[in-house]
Amino acid sequence: MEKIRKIKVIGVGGIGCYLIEPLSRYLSYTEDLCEITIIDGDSYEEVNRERQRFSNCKNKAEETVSRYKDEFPKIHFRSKKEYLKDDNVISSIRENDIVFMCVDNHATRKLVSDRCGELDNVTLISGGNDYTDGNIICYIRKDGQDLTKSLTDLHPKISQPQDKNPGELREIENAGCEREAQQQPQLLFTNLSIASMMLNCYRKCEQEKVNFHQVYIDIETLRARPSPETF
Amino acid sequence: MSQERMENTSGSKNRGIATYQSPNIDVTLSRATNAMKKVRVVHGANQDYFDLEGRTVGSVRKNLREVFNIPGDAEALISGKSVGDDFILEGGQNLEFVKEAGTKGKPRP
Repeated sequence: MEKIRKIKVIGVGGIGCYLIEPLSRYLSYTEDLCEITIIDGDSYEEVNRERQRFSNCKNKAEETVSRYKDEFPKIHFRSKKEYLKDDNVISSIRENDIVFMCVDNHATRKLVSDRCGELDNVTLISGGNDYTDGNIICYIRKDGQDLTKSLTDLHPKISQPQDKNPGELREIENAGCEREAQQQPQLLFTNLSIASMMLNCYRKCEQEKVNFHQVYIDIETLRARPSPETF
Repeated sequence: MSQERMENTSGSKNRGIATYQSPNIDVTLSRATNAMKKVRVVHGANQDYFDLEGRTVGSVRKNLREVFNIPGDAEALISGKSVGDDFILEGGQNLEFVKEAGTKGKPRP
């Protein structure tokens, strides 16, 4: 019987834009039916060209779908041009989803981690980075039980985010307030390393061989460390 | 923006996983005995055990800055509690350097 893989990719910026192509290629050569929903309320801008892959300066979700839908016809792509917020996270993240989260703020990380915690069966792979290092977190729930720790269990600062959800930030901007979060420089190679490790983690999930909660990566020292070392 | 570096090592739920494999007990005991005399130093992906008894946190930060890619403003934690650079280390302690929140993508000072 054919399996249906329902994949959600939240955020197609520095990490997400490099994750979609190999993920789609890999899924195209499985026997399963695959649906990839790309969720992002942001638009590509010229300043993103240094690190991000796009042709047109339009909504990131729509641009990514238009880029890959012909190249990978077996996959059913969908785009949602919106930020995840309280009012749409329930309909966006559902049972049996495989969620790749590539966002840059703790508010969204908490929102999605908490939503996954409400579901019986879900896999959440979250990646983030600074300039030369970063980490991925793998949160798996099966039959209503946590097999690995949630993002908020692992990191108290995610459970009490000091930043704002970009959807709310956009509303503040539209109301004439100044943007609170300034973008800091990032490095393309670090983004690539995190995207690659997220896909490696997905493979381990498929094999049901996840024996870590998270993996740290440092491209300055060329090291990766799963944590904890003994599960 | 990076996800947090500091792990919640206290009070979290200890959940099992189906793929757990028992470690070799001899190797584990040998490593544990050696580790008890040394200080475990961690920064993100970088981790090792060193003979640092009697040394200060500041000297470790200075000497491992390049090798462990430690930012100058990283917070030092001993068993999860923040300590200053003049803190004197004892064998068996766990020294972790973590970045302050809100330094997304910032090259280290």
